[in-house]
Amino acid sequence: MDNRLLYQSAIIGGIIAALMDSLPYIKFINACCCLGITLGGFAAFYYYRSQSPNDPEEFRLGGLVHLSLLTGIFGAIGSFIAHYIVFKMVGNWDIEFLRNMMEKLDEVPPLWDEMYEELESGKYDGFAGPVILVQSLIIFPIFTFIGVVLGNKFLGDAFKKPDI
Amino acid sequence: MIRIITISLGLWVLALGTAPIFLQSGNAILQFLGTAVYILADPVCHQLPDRSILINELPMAVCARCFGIYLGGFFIFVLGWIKQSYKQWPKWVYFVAAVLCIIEILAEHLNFYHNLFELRLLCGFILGILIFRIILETVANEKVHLKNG
Repeated sequence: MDNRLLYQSAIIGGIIAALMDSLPYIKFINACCCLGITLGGFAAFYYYRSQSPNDPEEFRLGGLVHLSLLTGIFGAIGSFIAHYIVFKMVGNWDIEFLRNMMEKLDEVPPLWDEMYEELESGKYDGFAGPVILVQSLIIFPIFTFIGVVLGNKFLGDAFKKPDI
Repeated sequence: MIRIITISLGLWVLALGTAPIFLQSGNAILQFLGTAVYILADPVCHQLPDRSILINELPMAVCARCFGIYLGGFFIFVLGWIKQSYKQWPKWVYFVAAVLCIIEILAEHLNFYHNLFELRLLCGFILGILIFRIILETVANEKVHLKNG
């Protein structure tokens, strides 16, 4: 595989996945089974394929895993950084959002009242950096892999130039 | 590889199903495991209780649709493992099924009905079959490549 192109694609896909995971409100797209992170994997494949259209060998399982793993790792690190920047700019907006949402619920489900009290206590007002990083390092590569595989299925031959 | 993914998916589905039970048990280790499943599933799903299946009156770690996706994935991988048939499905199958799921999601947003768990689960199940079938085909293709040298 072309390493330079591989890293370029992984960084582009990683940035997309990271932004989708960390920007306020946009991150809700991930509530739909990590669609944003999957989109990052899809974008990484799209970029790689568009720049290297005539090499089907690269898109065997090993290549796909390689691309998605790199995209996932870049995405996870990017997400950690972006979360930190968002935290510095607007604080823990998602905890605030959760508090507001729980206040509007007609009926609080079991164990949620305890959670609400914990949220109110200010225990979670700090930056949950290590949790975000560990979660992201596990979840990003899985969902970028799904994105890359979907890209391979639906865009695999889209850029292929006809053999002369 | 297919076996590994099938077993992993099976364990994940099992973990999702048992996490609420673990959380309510008196055992500290089980409670820790249950909490870990909820934390791991947090970025993956909105975890809204009114859209999740309740087990022992506690919502699962993912919503009904997401649970359907993993269940569908597990189902298609088990089927692939048993039948050993990896013939590629035509693309129109994916598009038709995806359109049906989009219609289901839109219909709910347009208030044609409200929060039908069975339909959410079914829609997720179909999506899971589609997504994981593509992964199954990709993994199986590699098997064929390796076999043919």
